[in-house]
Amino acid sequence: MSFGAAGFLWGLAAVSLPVLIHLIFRRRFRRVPWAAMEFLLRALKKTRSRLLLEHLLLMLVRMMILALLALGFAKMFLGTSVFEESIASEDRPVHLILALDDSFSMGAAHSGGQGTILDMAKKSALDRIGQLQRERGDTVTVLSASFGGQIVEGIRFSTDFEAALAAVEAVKVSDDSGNLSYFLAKIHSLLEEDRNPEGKGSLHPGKTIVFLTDLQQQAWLGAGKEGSEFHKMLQQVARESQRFDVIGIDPSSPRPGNLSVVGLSAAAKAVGGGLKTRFVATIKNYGEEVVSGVAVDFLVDGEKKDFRDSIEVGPGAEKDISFDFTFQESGKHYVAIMMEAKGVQSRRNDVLQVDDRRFYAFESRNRIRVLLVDGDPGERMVESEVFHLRMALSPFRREETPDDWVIRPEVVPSLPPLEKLLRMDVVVLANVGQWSEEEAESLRTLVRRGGSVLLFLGDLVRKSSYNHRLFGSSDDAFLPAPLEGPARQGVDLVEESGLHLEIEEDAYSHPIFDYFKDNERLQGLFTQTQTLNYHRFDMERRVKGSRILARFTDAARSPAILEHSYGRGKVVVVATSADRHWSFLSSSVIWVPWIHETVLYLSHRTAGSSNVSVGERFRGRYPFFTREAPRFYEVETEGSRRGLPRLRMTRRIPFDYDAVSEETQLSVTETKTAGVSRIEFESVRRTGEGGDDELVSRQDFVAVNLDRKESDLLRISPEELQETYPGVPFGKTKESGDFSAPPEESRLWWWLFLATLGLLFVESQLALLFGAKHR
Amino acid sequence: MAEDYTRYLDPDTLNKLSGLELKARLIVEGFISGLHRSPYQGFSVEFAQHREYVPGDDIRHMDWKVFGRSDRYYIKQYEEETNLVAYILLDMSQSMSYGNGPVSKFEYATYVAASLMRLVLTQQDAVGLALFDDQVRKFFRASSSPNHLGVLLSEIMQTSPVEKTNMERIFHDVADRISSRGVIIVISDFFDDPDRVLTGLSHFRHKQHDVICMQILDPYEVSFPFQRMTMFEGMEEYEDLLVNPKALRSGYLQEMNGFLRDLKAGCLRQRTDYVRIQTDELLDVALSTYLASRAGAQRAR
Repeated sequence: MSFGAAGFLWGLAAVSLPVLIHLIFRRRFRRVPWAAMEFLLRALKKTRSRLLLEHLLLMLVRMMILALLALGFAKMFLGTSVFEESIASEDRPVHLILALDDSFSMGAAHSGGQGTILDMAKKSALDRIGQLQRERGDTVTVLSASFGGQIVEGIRFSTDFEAALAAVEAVKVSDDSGNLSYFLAKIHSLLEEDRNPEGKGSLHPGKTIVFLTDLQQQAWLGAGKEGSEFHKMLQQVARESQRFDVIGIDPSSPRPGNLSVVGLSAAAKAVGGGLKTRFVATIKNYGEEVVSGVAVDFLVDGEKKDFRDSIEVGPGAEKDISFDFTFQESGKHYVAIMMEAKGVQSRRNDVLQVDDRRFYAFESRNRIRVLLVDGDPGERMVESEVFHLRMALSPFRREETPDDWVIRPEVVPSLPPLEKLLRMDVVVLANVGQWSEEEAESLRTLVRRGGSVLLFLGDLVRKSSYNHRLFGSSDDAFLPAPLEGPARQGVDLVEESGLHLEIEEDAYSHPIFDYFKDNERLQGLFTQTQTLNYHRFDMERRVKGSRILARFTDAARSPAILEHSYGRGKVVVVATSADRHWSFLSSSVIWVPWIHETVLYLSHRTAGSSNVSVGERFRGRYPFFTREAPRFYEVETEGSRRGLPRLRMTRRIPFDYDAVSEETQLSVTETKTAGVSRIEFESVRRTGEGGDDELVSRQDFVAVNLDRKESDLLRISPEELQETYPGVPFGKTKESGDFSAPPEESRLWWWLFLATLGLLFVESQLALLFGAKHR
Repeated sequence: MAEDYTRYLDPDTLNKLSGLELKARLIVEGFISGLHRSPYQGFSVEFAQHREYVPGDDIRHMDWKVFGRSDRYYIKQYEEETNLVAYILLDMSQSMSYGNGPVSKFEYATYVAASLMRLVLTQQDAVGLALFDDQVRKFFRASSSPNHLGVLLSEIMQTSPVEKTNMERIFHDVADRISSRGVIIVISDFFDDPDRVLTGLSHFRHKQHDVICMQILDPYEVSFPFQRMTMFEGMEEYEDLLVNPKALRSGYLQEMNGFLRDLKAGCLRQRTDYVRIQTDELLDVALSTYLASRAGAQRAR
């Protein structure tokens, strides 16, 4: 028999309460001289035994109610004590190395309802430390698993057990996912450092390593399977210690239900200027039951803007929920998703709350600067290669363009210098014949830094120049694939009426075709558009990771639109021309929306750098000088589904200026807490040629999110652990008692509470019955 | 305006006065002034003469025949008889000292006894007194002398309840002492064995006495309304008893009601008048009972 909350056993003292109350009431009586004593005595004589029985019965029931309540609150289990296999009986010094898994999955509620898994692990650790004996020469070392494993300062082969107890008490669930390989390496290095420098053996022989963990399957299998380096290190650690216990806390719950917000991002068009931006949050149900009644709040810059109620997610399923928001102002922003499982059933299937939120930082702009490089200007504007592009993007004269028109195209005959190029969000190259080395490098620099290029080919395109300057080698290819030249009449182009475009089935979910996704009529118009000629690609040398979004209806189903990520930017290549020379795409009604969608997509600089995982380094790059060290804030949104975020300044961080890229770089490594951080600084802006510098206040956001893999709480059983890593002499893989893993049938406390309710009913009925008799 | 003596029938009011004689006088005055409501009116008196009506006289005693003849109002006056001997046996055992209210059973009993004695003497009858507990402490032979009342009342006032009671023996003793037939009025709580009490009373009946048992009880003894844990301090040699009265109430009432029932039934069997009076009741009940009994005795003669 054992207890989950033994402190409540003090409540057993309350059993004496009815007796005490009885005695107190017996002392508090009034005195009455009484003449008719004879009758009183006779009544007493007749009823004495019955009264005594009633009294005892009621008192017994009341005492039992209090005893059962105390035992119930103490969470009484059947079974033996956890720690019956005591280390106190050892006759040699025990050098205990306590390794505590403090990854965020340890924050899941224990299936026995006794706090978190980490709470139970700490309890187990505290008990072990309590059994150490200083006289015997015992020592203790305490490590936590997060961020590559950390030895608690001062608790390394320490005899200060009080400090060790305090250190264990102080361990909190981190936001890290806890890399097991790194952690094991840390333990291994601890063992290595303890080697005796004068000979064989170690300074502290007979080490007992106890790793208290939730045995998360993805963490173990992700670290390495049989035969892996991880496996070998496990064997080594086990060999070098006298005993190596990997103890799974709460193994009775092999797959705890958990809901998690595993994704949040903008649907590729995060812009300002009154355009609606769509954000998509993905919720995953890692449990085995359908979860309904989930509420989701959507916050923009810390303010609640929208919500969804009663969301249902099937077992093992992911559900996308979209939120639209219109940013009127350009600038840096962040959005957050706060999820809450409502109702008992939902909460039972969401044992981990820390992953019920996610953040996304990005930049919205109210100007998208598009540079149209016209490779075939023609004599009149209408004959220009970029005429239809220009008209699609902005059908106004430059001076007549309304202020709220977001896309601002600028037509140039050739590629401008890098400085100007870097000010552009999207560069469209239309039938540009060839490239100089300098131009090619400028384009590469632009895209590496997050810019995007949309390439239309045409009859002037020289394949040798493109392949040499832009494709180069497949390791650093700017283009998705080398060109093979224009399609050949009679070979590739067998139909006089020309070819059509066909969007790839899976490409309708791509942002540039998002507009057509649910509109079959528009999709039909797209595919009916005639193409007269195109450039073929050498698909055998296609860059790994590039994607074909559309194909022509020729025999070879040649790629028509390809996408390729380069550096921090994107390159989209259209195999035909932007004018009507090779294609009637620009004459179709789909032309304007398609060009808009594509430019919006390409203008959205990847927000990857502003969105990092816990522990990952954040690198900020700013194309300007900063006057002073940026101030770094954390925006606390945790648990504040209703409240506004609070800002807390943490520190000033140094910045670097890279003279080559002319960028100010900021590096933040202490991203240990999930949430949003704000960076504030002042930068110098030049007001004009030779003019004075102006100081401008700026801010940036960094969203730090949890590793989504850690949300999968599926556990590896101790038996599977042994099978997965054969040859590892695990000492113990579970507690000998049922302290951390009370089997369902041993949970007596539920029955105790039920019995208490029953007894309360019996007591009230008895009191009523006896009281009625006495009236 | 004439004083309203009926208010002196209230034991609470009476308790505020000092002097048993005064109390007795006020009770009797109050009782007599209220007699017009009593069904026993005029039973015990014979017509004597007429006198002229004065305001305040009861018009029911108006002689209408005389008025018809003389056109004047005359009141009929009655001659009272003095041929009755009454003995009052007053229990002064310790149980009589109990009283929850302002008046104990003994005090109430003394009021009853005093007022009865005055009433008896007012009617020219003779009255005697016996004070008893476990034995007859004082015995005064009956006399109709107006001075006799003062003697009796001063004796009563000097006594206080101390001992337990033994009624059977007392009644035999008193019965032996009284030679002439009369009315025996026993004022007690009768907290004794009912069989023994009745045996004692039967001795009076055997000697042709009319017997009136006036049982004086405190309302708390009848209703037992105690709620909290109580230490009942025993009287008449009983030990103290700490009990939860709520738990015992039902049993107690059963015992008490059984006792009262047995006593009443026994009295009825031997044709003894029995009246139970609670100390919160008006005192005219006792006097009315006496007058009814006296009328019965007159008729029997």
